[in-house]
Formats: sequence, structure tokens, C-alpha cells
Amino acid sequence: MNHLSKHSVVLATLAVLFVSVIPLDASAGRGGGHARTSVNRGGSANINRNANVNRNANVNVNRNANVNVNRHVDVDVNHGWNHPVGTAVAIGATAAVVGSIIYSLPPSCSMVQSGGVTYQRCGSTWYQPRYAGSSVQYVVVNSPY
Amino acid sequence: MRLQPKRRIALILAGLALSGVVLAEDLGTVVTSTETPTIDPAAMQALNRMGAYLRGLKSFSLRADDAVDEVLDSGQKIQVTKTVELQVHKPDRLHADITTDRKAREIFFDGKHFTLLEPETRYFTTVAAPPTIREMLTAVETKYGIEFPLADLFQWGEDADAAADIQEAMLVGASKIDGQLANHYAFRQDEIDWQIWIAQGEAPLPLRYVITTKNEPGEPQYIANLTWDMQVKPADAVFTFTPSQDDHPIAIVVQDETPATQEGAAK
Repeated sequence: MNHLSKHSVVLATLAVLFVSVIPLDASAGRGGGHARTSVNRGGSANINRNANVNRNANVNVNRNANVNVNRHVDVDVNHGWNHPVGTAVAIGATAAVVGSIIYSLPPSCSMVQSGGVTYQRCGSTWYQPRYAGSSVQYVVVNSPY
Repeated sequence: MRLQPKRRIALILAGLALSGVVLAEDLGTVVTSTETPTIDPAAMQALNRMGAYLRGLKSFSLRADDAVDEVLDSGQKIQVTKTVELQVHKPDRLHADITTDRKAREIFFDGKHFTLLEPETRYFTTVAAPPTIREMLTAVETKYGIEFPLADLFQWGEDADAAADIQEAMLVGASKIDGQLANHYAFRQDEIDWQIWIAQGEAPLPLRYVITTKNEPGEPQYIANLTWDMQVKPADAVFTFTPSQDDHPIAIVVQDETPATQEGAAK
């Protein structure tokens, strides 16, 4: 909790070096197919499949990290249980724009509960975890203090 | 098989048009290839019997090991697996432990509330839920985008089941699943082909099912193997989630609202 200034420096460095956050639009995020998992409920259940569109994939980082994984991230983030969401996105990619979303926190964050709301404070950036489907995502928010 | 004259002609024409494999022999007999749509009434009966049995189950526990194909844009198929441990007391209590190769979740439903918990971080969300398992499954799927595992177990034998959509049905044969004798059936519908292995004997439980999605490139498949435990009656306490100090409440995104929410606007 007392490492605020240190993390700020790290974040600023990361921001300069890496952050090129690209909000994918719905069509760009469209991925491949997904096997139906229900005989009785398949057809209509797939409508909301690509609901989570603002994924903020950090292209510079991911391209070097794992192209296949990155490609797969575009598929069906919320609906399925098995997607490796954010495994490639998390590499130091701290997008400090309020409202942007990541799927894995940078290292050295502290959980803070305030007013019945759960936050993760990572340096000077505050995240609010939430479920999107069965996945946990972290939304950058303003400091509650 | 006896067919009405009109039906027989239609079959012959359809067969000729498709592949010419229909053999029209003596009057009154039509021998068709397996490509001709047929519904074996015995297969439908077996499905109905299983459905009725499932519908009559009050309490059960089961473990399901499943695998889902995901097809990448390149056409490459990726298989991902998960294990679901389900405890059910119908019509309004359910608990699920879901462990995929990448994440774990727990689900609680007590007839009033639905809770999704990540056991590692202890993030949880609790929302109001409709009073029955079947309504709850539909609600969390449409409202929150959570594809509930093994939803079929609560649909077979109910009014809304897919029996009416079946275009072809056949018995593949007898087989053994984990040493248990089962009958293997195969069905065809518009968008999917599916197979099911139903236990022989007094308890016609589904032991395995496979769904092939035909309207997706690569025809990805889903397979679930089910291990039933009919002896253990789940205790009531497992269905209700009571947060401790170590549990952290978080929100869940509503999926079917306006696109603004889906764009990730801060809430």
C-alpha cells in the first residue's frame, strides 16, 4: 500500500514503452466457432456470444508473446468457460484510462474494500473487478478516495 | 417398415435426387440407404424414458468430465476440458464446482439467489434469481451470459426439450461406459448431430453425450462423460452461499442491456 510512487514510475515507464491499447470493435472481435454444449438450449443461447467487445488487447506486447493465444482471445470471451482470456494481455499492459478493461492485474496490487465495493489498487491505478459472464475483468476506475 | 404410399414416393424421389441409392423392390417394400431420414421409434422411446426418469429425480450428485472444441479463425481446432461437480435438489437447489484447465468457479443457487464465486480470489457476486433451476439457468444465460454446464440434464423430459426437432434417430448398439452397460443412440437435427449413451436397466441415466455442431466451420464437438451418485443426498447447506470476511463482493455485467454497457463504460 505504501509503494505508490514506485509503482507510478513503473506505470509511467510501461505507458511510454508498451501501451497501445486498441479497443476492438465488435466485428474485429469476431472469432471462430464454438461447439454447442447443449442439445436443448443451443440455438438461442449463442446470441450474446460476443458481447464483450472492448477488450483492450495490447497488440505490441501480445504479438511477441503468443500469437495463437492472442488470436484465440477474440473468441467468445464471456460465454464459454474455457477461454484463456487475458493470459497474453497481462504483460505489464496497464492501461490507465478510466473505463478500460483488462483481464489480469499487473503484479503487486492490493485489494481494498470501500463502501461495500471491492477494488484492486495497483500503484496509482484503481481497478474494480467484476464478472463478465464467468470471467473476471478489471475496469479502471477513479480512486474512491 | 411400412410407409404410406405418398410418403414412399417422396422417399423414392428424394433418394433418387440425392444419390440414387434407393432400391424400390417388390410392391410394399422400400429398402433405403442410411442416408434417408428415418426415425427409429425405439430410439425416441429410449430418449423419452430417460427424460421421464431424469424428471423424476429429486436429489442427485454427479461428476461430469467434458471437452469442447473451439475453432480458431484459421480453422485450427483447440480442445478445452473441464470438470463439473454438481449437487442438485430439485426443483430449486443447485451447487456446482466447475474446474477448467484455466479457472475454477463455484455456483450456488438456493431458490432465491444465484451466486458466482471464484474460489481463489474469493470474488463473488450474488444476484436475485427465479425460483426454479430451469428458470434460473435461462436467466443467468440470457442476462449474464453464463453458459450453464450440463443444462441438458434439466431439459430432457420437459416440455421444452428438443425431441420435436429430431429428424433422424437410431440405435447404434450396446456398449459399455466405465463397465456399465449402455445403449448408444444417435440423433440428427438441423444444426447438430448428437449421440447419447443411456444406461441399461432400471435407471436409464445418460452416461455420455456428444454434440456435433454442423453449422460451424470444422464441425466442433462437445463431449461429456457423466458419473452419477444416486446415494449421497446433498445437504441443504451446500446450496446457500454465506459470505465471510474473506469474500469480496463484485458486480456482474448484464449482457442484454444497451451496447453502452458492453463497450465497457465504467459503472
